[in-house]
Amino acid sequence: MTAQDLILQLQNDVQEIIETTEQEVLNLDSKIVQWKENADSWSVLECYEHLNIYHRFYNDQLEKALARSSSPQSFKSGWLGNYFTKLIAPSNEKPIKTMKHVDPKGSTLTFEVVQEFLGHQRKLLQLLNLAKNKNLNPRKIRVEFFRLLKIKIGDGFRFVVAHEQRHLQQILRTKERAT
Amino acid sequence: MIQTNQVEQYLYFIKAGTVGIFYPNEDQNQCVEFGYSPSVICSFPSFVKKLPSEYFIQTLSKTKVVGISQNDFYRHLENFPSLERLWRKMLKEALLGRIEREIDLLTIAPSTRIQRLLNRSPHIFQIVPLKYIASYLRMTPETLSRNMKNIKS
Repeated sequence: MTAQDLILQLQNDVQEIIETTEQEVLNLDSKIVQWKENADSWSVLECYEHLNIYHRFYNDQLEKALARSSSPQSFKSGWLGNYFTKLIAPSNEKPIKTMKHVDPKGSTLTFEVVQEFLGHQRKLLQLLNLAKNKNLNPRKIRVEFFRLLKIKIGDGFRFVVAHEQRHLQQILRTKERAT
Repeated sequence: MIQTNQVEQYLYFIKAGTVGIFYPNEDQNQCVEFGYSPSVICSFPSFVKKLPSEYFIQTLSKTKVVGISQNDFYRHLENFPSLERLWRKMLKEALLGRIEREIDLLTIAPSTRIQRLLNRSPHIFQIVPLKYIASYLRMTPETLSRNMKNIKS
């Protein structure tokens, strides 16, 4: 896949995430989005807040890395970036344990978190647009749960989007059970 | 940085780069631990017991360290409670790390040993040459690279 194809694919994915959120979540009753199956599972809002925590970390990094990056070149995924993207993608059905500092459980949340989330998506689209004119190969993106690990900018985007897709599925499942 | 039979006088803070601790084992040097920025490293048994070190420490890339002598370190440890707390936390982490490594060594399948390291410290694969990782995991470089092919695909 070329860098341009990758960006296009990711832009489509993000667009889909935005549309699904607008169509499936924004019109829900606040009781539904706060419902949780048991004390350990997350409500719809908690899923969004969890994603927000990651966006606050990654959007900034992606932006800074792109600002320093030079003109476009063919992109090749790094094997570690690829490994972690596959691990987090919805196709891996094994549950992944959440670390405490990114666990939104117990916070009081309103629809504001969904609005914040949509803001992060618009920012992500902007960054992807910017990425079209940049080299995505520099290994500049720190991974939140392994701060010493750095992955390529292109893999950073892939990782963020795959993570969103994973939790969007969880959101739709939770909504299904709540109604 | 330190040879075998030398008594470790310093505790080093790694500012940049990567080092390895090795145990000379018959015909080859067995890698037992890696150190990288930002963390501290020393030949621990020698540092604590003031006896000649059985291990040696070698840099694996261009490395910058700052050392503090044992006397100074212990003096500061008593005067600064925050340093004491930090030291205790580091000892706890180091002990947990050693226990993980013990499980590594008890794990028979090479692929499981690699997977455990990958889940624990993926950055090692970015900063340490594979031949040292193979030694650390107690397998031949060939076994490691054969298994890495499966993981990468």
